[in-house]
Amino acid sequence: MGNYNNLETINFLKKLPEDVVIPLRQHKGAPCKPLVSVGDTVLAGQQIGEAVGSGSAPVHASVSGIVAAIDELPHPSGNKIPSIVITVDEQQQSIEFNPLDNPDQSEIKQIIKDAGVVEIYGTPTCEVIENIDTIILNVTYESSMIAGCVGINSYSSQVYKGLKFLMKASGAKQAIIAVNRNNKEVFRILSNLKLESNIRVVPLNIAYTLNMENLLVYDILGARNQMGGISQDVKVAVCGVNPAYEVYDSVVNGRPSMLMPVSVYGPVGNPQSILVPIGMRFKDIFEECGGCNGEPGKIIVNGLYTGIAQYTDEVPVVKQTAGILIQSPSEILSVQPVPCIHCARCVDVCPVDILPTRIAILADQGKFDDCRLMHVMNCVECGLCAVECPSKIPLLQLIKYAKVAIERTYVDMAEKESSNLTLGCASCEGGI
Amino acid sequence: MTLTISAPPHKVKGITVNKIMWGKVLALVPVSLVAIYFFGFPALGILLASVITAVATEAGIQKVFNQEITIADGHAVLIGLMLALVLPYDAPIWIAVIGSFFAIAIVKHAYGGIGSYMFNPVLVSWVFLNLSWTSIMTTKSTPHIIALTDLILENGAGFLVGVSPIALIGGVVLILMRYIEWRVPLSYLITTLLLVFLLKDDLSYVITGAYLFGVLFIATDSATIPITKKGRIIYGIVCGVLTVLYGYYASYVTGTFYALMLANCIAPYIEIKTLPKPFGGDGK
Repeated sequence: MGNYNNLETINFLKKLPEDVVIPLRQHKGAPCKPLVSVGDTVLAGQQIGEAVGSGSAPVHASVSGIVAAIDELPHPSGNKIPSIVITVDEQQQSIEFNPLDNPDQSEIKQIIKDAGVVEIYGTPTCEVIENIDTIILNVTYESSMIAGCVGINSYSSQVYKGLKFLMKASGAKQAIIAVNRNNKEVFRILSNLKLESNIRVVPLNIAYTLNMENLLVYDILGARNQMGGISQDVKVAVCGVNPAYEVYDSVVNGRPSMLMPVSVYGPVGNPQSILVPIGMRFKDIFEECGGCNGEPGKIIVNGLYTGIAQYTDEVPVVKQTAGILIQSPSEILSVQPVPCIHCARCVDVCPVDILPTRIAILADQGKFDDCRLMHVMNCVECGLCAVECPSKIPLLQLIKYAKVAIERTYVDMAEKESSNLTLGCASCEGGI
Repeated sequence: MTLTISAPPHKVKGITVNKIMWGKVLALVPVSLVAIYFFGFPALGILLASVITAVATEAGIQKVFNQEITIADGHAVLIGLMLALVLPYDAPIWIAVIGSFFAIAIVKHAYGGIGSYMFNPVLVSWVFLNLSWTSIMTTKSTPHIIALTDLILENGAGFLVGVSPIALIGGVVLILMRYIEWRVPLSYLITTLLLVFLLKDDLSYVITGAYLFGVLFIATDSATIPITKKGRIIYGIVCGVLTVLYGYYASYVTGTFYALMLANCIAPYIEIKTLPKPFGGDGK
C-alpha cells in the first residue's frame, strides 16, 4: 500500500486549511454550550464551548479566525453534531498562555479540566483520574491507529512528565506503562527515561483499543470488573499517550487541547502521522498528505476492524480520532455470509471468553434474554471474531444488535447514548 | 464523491468455508492415489461412484427444495471422498452409491445441511452400511503395522484409507495451517496412546490408517464437536477412551468409527457443561 516510513514520527502541517469545523461534542457527555456567535473573531486556544455536566469537556479554537457558522454538521461518529465553523485568517494569533508556577494537586486537576483533555474512548481525562490508585498508560495500538501512541517516539520525556502530573493530580500510588511485546523501539525509549520505582512497564500481546479498557486492566492487574463497568470501579485509570502529552502541555505551557496527531493510511501521495488542528476536515488532510490516488472508495476512522466508515470527507478530526484509513474501490470488502460450520475460530480469538457464534445465532432469532445469559454484555467489540470467521457471518453486528436491545429493554442497564441501530420493525417506529 | 459505508470489520482474513473444505479434500488426495495404486480399478470405481453420487445428491436435493446449490463449497465432494475411503476395496459399486446418498440426503440435508448436522455423515453412513450389509462391509484382513514400511504401504489394509497411514500427513499440515483445529486431535491422540500404554495393548494395531483418519479428519469435523475450548479437549479425551474401550476388546479400526459416533452423541452435552466463565465480576 505504499511507503509507511513517515508513520513512526509526527509530521507537521505545511499549510493551514481554509476553514475548520469544531464539533461541540468531542466527548461522551452532552454537547458544549457555544460561547461565541457567528461573526465573532476567535484566537487560537480561546475557549469556544463550555462543558455541560459530567462527561463533557470544554472545546477550544484550534486556529484563529472568524466564526462563519454554528450548525449541525457531520461528525466522525456518524451522527450530526452542533459544530462551530471557523474561517482561518492569515495572522494566526493565539491567546496568551499563562502556565502556573509549581501548581499543587487541585490546581493541576483544574488545569486538566479547563484544557479539555479527553481520552480516546470519550471520557474527559479529569474524570478518569478521580478516585483511583493506579494509572495505566496505554501504549498498545492497532496498526492502523498508530498516531494514538506515536507521540511517545518523539516526545517521550514530555509524555512521561505528563504521566507524573496525572499521578500527582490523582494521588495515584503507581503507574503502569502497557506496551506491545514486539514494540522494541518503545522499550528502548522507556529504558532511556530512568523510570521511577513506582512506574513499571508491562509487555502485552494484543492491542487494546477503544472499549477494551476493562480487559487491559484485567490482563495487567487481574482485577475483574463488573459487566459494563468502567475501570474506575476497580480504582484504575486508563490513559492514552496523546492525553498524557496534552496534560504536560497544559500544565507546563498552559496550552489547551488544540492539536491531534492522526495517521493517514491508504492510497494517498504520502501516508503519514501528522499533527493537525482539531476540526481540520479529512479532505484537507488528504490534500496535505499528497492527495488521494484516484477516487477513494471508503474512508474509515479508527481502525480496520472496528472503525466507522464515513459517508463524507467533510468530517473533521476530533479528540477521538487517531487513524484515518482510505480504501480504494477495489479494496472494499464484499462478502456473502454462509451457514456457520462451528469451526470455533471466533471462540479461540475472543479476548473475553464468550461464544460469539452462539450469541450471534441467538441475536439473529431475537432471543436477547438468552444472549444476556451468554454474557453478551461482556463483549468489548474488538471485531476479531468477525475478522476470523470463515463463513463471513457479521458476528460483530449481531452482537451489537443484541447489546443495544438489552440496554433498551432492561431497567437495570446503565442509560446509554442514542445509537444508529434501529431495532425490530422499521415501519412501526422501531418496535422496541 | 461516492463513499461506501458499511459496518466494521472493513477487512477480514482470507480463510473461507470453501478453502477449508477443499483443503481437506486436497489432504485426502494422496491416500486416495495410494489406494488406487494398491487396489487398482475397484478402488477407483468406489471413489468415483461415491464422490459423484454425493455431489449429484446434494445438487438434486437443493434443486428440488429450491435452495441455492452449494456443491462448489466442496463439502459434498469431501463427504463422498471420506465415505469411499472407509469402504472395503472389494465392496460393490452400489454400496458406495447407497452409502454416499444416505450420508448426503439423510444425515446431512435432513438434519439441516452444512454445519447443522448432529452426527458426522460419513460415520452414520458407515454404521448404516455395516449393519445392513455386514458381510460385504467386513474386511478380509486387519491392518497390522509391524515395520516402518507398513506406515508407507500397508498390505493388510481392509478399508481404502488403511492403505498408507503416512499419506494422511496432509491432515497434520492442515492443523499447522490452522485449517482444522488442534485441540481435539491432540487430546484424542494423547489419550489413546496413554491408555494403550497403560493397558499394555499392542500399538501396532492402533496406529492404522483408519485410526489416524478418525483423529485427523472425522474427529475434527467442526459441526459435530463442542465449540468451547475446554469442551474440545474433553471431547478428544472421550474419543480416546471410547476408542480404546472398543479397540481393546475388539478392533481398533471399527472401534474408532463407533467410538467417534458415540462421542458425537455427547458433544452438545460437553458443550453446555463447559461454557466459559464470564469475564466480568460475577465470574467467581
